[in-house]
Amino acid sequence: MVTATEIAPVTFQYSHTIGRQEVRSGNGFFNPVAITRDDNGMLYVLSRGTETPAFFPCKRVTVFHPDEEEVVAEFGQKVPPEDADETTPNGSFMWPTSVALDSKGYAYVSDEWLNRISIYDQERGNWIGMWGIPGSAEGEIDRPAGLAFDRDDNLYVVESRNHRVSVFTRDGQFKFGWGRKGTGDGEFDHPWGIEIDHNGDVYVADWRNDRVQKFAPDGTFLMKFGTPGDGEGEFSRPTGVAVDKDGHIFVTDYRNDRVQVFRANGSYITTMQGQAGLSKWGAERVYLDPTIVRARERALGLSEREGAFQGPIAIEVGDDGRVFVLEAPRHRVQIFSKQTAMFAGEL
Amino acid sequence: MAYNDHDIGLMAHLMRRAGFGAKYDELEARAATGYNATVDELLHPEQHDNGMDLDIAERCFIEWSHHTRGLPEYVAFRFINSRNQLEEKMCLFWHGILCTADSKTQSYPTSYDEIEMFRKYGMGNFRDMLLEISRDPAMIFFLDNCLSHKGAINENYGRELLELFSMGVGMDGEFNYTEDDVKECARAFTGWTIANNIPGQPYGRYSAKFVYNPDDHDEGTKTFLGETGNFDGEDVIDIIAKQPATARFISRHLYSYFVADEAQVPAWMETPPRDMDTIKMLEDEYFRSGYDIRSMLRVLFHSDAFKNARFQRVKSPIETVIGTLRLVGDWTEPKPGFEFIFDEMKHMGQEIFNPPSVEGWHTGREWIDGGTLVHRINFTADFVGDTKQPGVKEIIERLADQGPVISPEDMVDTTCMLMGHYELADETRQMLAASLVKGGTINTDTAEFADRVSELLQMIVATKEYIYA
Repeated sequence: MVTATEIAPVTFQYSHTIGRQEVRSGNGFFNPVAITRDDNGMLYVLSRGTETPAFFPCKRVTVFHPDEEEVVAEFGQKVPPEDADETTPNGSFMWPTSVALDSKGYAYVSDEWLNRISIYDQERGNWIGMWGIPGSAEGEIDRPAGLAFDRDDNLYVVESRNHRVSVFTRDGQFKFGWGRKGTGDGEFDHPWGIEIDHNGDVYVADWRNDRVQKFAPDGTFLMKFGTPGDGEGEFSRPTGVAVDKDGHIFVTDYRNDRVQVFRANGSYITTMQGQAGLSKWGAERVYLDPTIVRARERALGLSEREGAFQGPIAIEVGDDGRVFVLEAPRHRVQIFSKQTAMFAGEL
Repeated sequence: MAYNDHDIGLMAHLMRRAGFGAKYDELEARAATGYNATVDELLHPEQHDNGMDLDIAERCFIEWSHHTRGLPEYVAFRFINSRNQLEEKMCLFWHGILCTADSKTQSYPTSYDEIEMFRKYGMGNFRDMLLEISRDPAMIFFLDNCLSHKGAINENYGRELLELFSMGVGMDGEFNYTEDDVKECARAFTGWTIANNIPGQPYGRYSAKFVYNPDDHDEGTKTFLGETGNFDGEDVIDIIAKQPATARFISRHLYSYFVADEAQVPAWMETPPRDMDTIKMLEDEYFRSGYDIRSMLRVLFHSDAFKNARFQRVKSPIETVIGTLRLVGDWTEPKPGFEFIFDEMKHMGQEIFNPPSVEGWHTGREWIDGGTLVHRINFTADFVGDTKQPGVKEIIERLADQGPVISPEDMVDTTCMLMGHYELADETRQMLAASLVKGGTINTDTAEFADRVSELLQMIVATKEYIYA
């Protein structure tokens, strides 16, 4: 008899890091908050940017290949704070929070200040439409955060200030939703990230309740895990959640500066602490200035301090076992490959 | 003058000085609690929730979460919204004395660590504060102690520790220390340095870390302020803390910040305190309490000198901006556009995290010149003239509660009261009332009443009296 038995926790092989602080555009990000990946393996990273007027193109979606590390597209633009209202030009961002792709490759970006879901085409990121009615009634949205599509192209929208999940068609027709403010099962406190697994089950980073909740596709509560704290299985403001084909659940434990990994039943497996090195885009900047090169050579504890996660805010995992961890304060993506120890043989 | 424990005017005075001012409803609530109880609450922030949803604020302003950017705005948001107002005010107090500047340090994460240190030790023991500032990475870099080595000292930190952070050049016409003391002080702090930090490229700034390097510490015998031994920095701080000049120095700073404008620090050697009795009282408490700042503040806030010193200080730009925003009730929640606050303070002459020198900002009337005055009045007038602001609405509603018609004099007096018991000179009061008379009878139930209130508010903030706290 041949069986496969998990005999050790999963481990992760660090691959490389992509990114650098880039306040305008090009090879880098600026306060990135969301990441997703298309069917061709291209990564989409959403930079929330800043309000500083000089850094005008800093709010954007950057599309690039994780191995070739070439930017192939950028879209979205920043609106000045004084113009951030219902008159904000189409395609502009004020406080963008998430990006998700539908089955045709259209990109949907949520903006929690404008209460909009903006839509961009799959070619060059041209703005093609938007929807969203601010409010708390059914079908209205207040502070949209995480976004995720199911197989049928229904868009699950996490609403931070309505403390709920609402499900819409791609063109913004409300279908159903669940949740209210609270600490009970199926209740939320300022939820943020969302993930839909291969079975269609839904995971929500219940941010201010310091936990993750799992639901059936129709919103039926299935399970929860996590409590406030910094121990194993505890969270301090979890922001993002991702689930791989093996059912392993990855959670960005934002204020604890780590990623925790759980089994499908919510039991703790391991913690990822990060091990970033100098990225290709980072090296482009560093080697322009010999003083930076020397400063890095002298810096005490460079690899430990620079390598560690700081503010991991969103995570993407693929069926190929690759794990992409996005860090807002460090403007980068750390890439790992999951190594699952398996025993194969006669027992 | 004896005060009732529940006097709202006295409470307004306390909250302007021990905080950044308050709306009238808060003043009423605090006055009902009582002056003594409020002082106790302010002195013990560790016993009270600060009332802020900082996690949500950091979620909105994502760069606040690890303080890689936006530190001035983050600190300003705390100034506006923290219920523990004295804790915040003490952060600003120490930032203006134990000065570092981001223009040199170029690291908001490191400045954040410094501010948090001020928050932690700001009402604690002054000796501990001196020890912490001597280990503070921002300070070590700002005043070059990382360049001070055994056998090749850099005197910068040793000099400023004595001159600007603890004793002052002199007292009562006599010098407090010698050039030799400066050199010996610098020797004692050799080896107190920082780790070579990670540069800001490619992944942004990291906070700097204190390191003690024993190999670079001068182990030789030193003579400092008349004492001789193999001193290190901590020994030097012990000696500094027990000096009468240190008690005088910190007492004058507390007096100038909380009671009434003093002469500028460089003049303190030759210029006696304007209120020697109160300074003496604070000096006594400094020694009696074992250098405890909280004890000195308690004595100060309960003194007649403090209670009677209304409108004896020119508001700093930060007090003006934060106080105005607290008065009108703006920025109680995060929203886009907060970066303006940094520019407003800067244009009025106080750029937070960038004092003009290690001496800090000159205060009192030096805050005011033609340009800064115009900016100050324009800023305050813009905000109090906005009838959509919650605090302005409350003032309008309370005035309307006076009855269907209000006299010009009553409207001026009541408005000044609702703004925090401002006291106008009689001539100013008459001019404002006369201006209202020109507009005809003041009917509080008309559509234009709100505009008349906002115009009056704008006139009041343009008066000389409103410049003072």
